Amino acid sequence: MAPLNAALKIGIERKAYPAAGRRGPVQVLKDIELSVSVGSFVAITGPSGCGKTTLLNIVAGLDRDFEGSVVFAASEPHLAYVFQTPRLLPWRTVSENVALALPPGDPRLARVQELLVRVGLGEAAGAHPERLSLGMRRRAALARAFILDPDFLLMDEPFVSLDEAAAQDLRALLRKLCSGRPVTVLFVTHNTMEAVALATRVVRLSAAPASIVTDVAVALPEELRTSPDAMAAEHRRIFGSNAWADAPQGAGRDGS
Amino acid sequence: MAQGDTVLDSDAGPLVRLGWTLVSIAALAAIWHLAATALQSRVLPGPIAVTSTFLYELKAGALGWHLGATLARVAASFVLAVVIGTAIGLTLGRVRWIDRFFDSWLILFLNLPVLVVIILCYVWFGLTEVAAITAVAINKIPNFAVTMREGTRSLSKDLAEMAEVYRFGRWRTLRHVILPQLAPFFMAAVRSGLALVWKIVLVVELLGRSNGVGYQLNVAFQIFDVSLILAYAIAFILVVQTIEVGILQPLEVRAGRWRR
Repeated sequence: MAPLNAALKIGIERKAYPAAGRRGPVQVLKDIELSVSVGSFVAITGPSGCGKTTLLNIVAGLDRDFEGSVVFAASEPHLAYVFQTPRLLPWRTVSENVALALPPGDPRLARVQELLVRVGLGEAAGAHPERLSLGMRRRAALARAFILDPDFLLMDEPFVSLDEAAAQDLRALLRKLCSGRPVTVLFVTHNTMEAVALATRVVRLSAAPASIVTDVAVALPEELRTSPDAMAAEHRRIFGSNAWADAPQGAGRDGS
Repeated sequence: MAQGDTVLDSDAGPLVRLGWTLVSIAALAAIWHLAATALQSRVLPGPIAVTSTFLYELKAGALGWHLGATLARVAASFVLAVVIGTAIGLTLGRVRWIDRFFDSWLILFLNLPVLVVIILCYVWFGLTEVAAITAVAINKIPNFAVTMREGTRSLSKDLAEMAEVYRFGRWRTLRHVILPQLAPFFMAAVRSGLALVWKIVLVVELLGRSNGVGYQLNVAFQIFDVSLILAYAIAFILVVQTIEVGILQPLEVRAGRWRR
């Protein structure tokens, strides 16, 4: 796939972690070529430990030690990252955590409370993160990402270790927050059904050193994402026949 | 939020705990009184005699003068130790090769007997105030450096990455991400540090100063005035406890408010 209006071009030739102790250098990524168009929602799946997080860290600019390039179309893209753990500052309240994502004096500071209400944390704005459930902390992490009005949203298994109902609520919330915005999402998940439920494109990586195995558009119109049958069929098309049975059920849209 | 009482009984109210403290101190005083009455010895004056000595010294102004001198030395050497020790600890925690190089120096200074440092300072710099304060600070700097090094090493990489992605910048990262993580280590170092500095200052005064509680204890020792020794000891305990309860504990409670 080579979209004309690419917002982001990833061309990683090689990424290896240096030798540590007796272990030699470990190569994690190999020949990853991805061109991501504006507003697309790319799900990245692959076996655990294959280098999905490393890929996101490279795109985020946290890891600069690799061979290749990551080029954004915009000169200064607004980038937000929702990590695998919420990574909130435990000594700051929920609303302070969200506000800190903005530069001091930013006019959007006035919208923090409104956004917290939207993500269902209106009451918890003044609470410290350790007093909240994991689901609520994940909501706070989402709010921190969306207060920036990001052009790019990187998400690293943002709904992992939640029960399925809570994960489903958060997926619906994510869809709601993304709708009506030109946000481009890179979404790492090992839950293949979550990938089908959310993404417009699914990229599968091999085991380490990871390279792209398949890169498929999800041919599922919005209205069919509520239909379990249509989703199952699409999942079968992308991931093969028996994968559906292994995946946890109910990752589809909950009709909100 | 009645939490934050990291002290013992979190189930008992503050009044109950105060009651226990008073009863236990009264019991100790009673035992002391009985022992002193039974022995009738010049070297074990009872609580009443010691209290009257205490009040006499207080009225005469000697107690205030010597305590003030000691407090000033504690403050000066403590601030010195905190600033230098923290700077060294942060550097060692961040820069690998400096840490490797200076680690053995640190171990050497940690194990250097307190008395050796004091004597050497007096020998090299003379019986001066500077020598006294330097000696105390040198004794405390290694402990501070080690604790702050541990704190710096345990800084969360996850939060540092978060701050980088969300463009906190240097100052906001320091204020909102790094300092709150170092605060518990700092408080631990301050508390154990103060406990140690108090004691070292007395030795320094005993060996080479002409005022302060340590000096006064030495005078009392030479004339075998046990009552005076105990009066100063009690004054000393009162001041240390006031600082502990009045300043350090509230600070710690405030710093730990966010904890579950």
